Amino acid sequence: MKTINKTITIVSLIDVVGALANDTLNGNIYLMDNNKSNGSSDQGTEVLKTLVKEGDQLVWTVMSLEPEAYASIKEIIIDSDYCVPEQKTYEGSDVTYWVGKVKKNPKSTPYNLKIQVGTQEQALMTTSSPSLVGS
Amino acid sequence: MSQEITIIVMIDTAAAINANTLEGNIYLVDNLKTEGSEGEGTGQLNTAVNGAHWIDGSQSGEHLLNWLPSGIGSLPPSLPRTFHQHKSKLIDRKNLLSIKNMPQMKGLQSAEDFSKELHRISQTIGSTSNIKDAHGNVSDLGIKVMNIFGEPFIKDQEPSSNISYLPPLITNITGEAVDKGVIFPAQYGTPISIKDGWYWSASVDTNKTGNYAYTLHISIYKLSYIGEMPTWEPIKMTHESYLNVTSAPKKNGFTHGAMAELPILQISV
Repeated sequence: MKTINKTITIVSLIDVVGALANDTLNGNIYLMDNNKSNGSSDQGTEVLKTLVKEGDQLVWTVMSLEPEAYASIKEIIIDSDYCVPEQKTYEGSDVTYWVGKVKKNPKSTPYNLKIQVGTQEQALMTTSSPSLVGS
Repeated sequence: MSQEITIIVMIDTAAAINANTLEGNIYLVDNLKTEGSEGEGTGQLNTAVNGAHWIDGSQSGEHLLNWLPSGIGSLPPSLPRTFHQHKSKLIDRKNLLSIKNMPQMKGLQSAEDFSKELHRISQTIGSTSNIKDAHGNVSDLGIKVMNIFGEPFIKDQEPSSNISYLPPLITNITGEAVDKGVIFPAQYGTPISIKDGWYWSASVDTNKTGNYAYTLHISIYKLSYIGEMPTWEPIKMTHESYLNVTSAPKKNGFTHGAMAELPILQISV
């Protein structure tokens, strides 16, 4: 059996109408991961702290609060010493996700998400940074 | 004003299964934060339903609630509804083609080479899953167990945290708000992919103002292996959430005054 590391999914739930109306993600993004039982905190907020270890695989997905509205992650800005996320597409669809391996144990590494909302060309960036934290 | 209210119900399925409760593993978000909803992104959402009434007290406009459950460790609901079925067939077709082309493959000389190649292919097939219903009857779900990357999940080769859980399902909505006739929930069909064909919706009697509790009945699916056969088993759980229903006199959205003709300026030329 291969060495098994954990996969942690981080979901960005976007209030697209709110983000477009106010031209900001501030107050219009809710981040959640599936690692709370191991110590992730601030679930459902903009400053989610995901507890990670070196070797863990991180997957970022996005969904919009209004089913008919469009939202996708355009970029993840993070210190490349810790993680280099790449964009991938689910085969047979145009739905994308981002994936990256944790390169070394972080103390607290903040990152930012750039999200495209609706048909607005300019992606919006998170104003309060979520972060990867070590145990 | 009539309003369509969306309540997204996010569930950490694996954690809820381990803890045998939704408490602490469920997050609700609605689209009415600016209208006064409280507890967004937590398990204690109190949705503001701000109704309006005419001068004779009758309800003006209708508020509709829509609940959409989703799993944090599941494939995104924005994928086409047919994604799982299509991908499952695609994988089988690819593998059959690989087997068909084996005699022409360079480097396959001995029986051992063929055996190795067949073993390699077998490691990419994954397993079609069964599903158990509420009465314990098992049937073929017709789709493979997928990982979060939309590929077949290969047991013993990848961590269980890779599993994309079946999305949670709302099976009923009950409680105080239903008993008192404040909301009238029912399940409806829809072609919208994110709702997976079905969704729960309710209209609200905004004349019944006050804070009311309601209970979401949710089935989450645990993956068990019966022999080598992966089987999704439903686990029934409940979660209580709240509605804060208010009603104000109907007003003109432009003037914020009483309902009357719009103040259109008459310009004389």
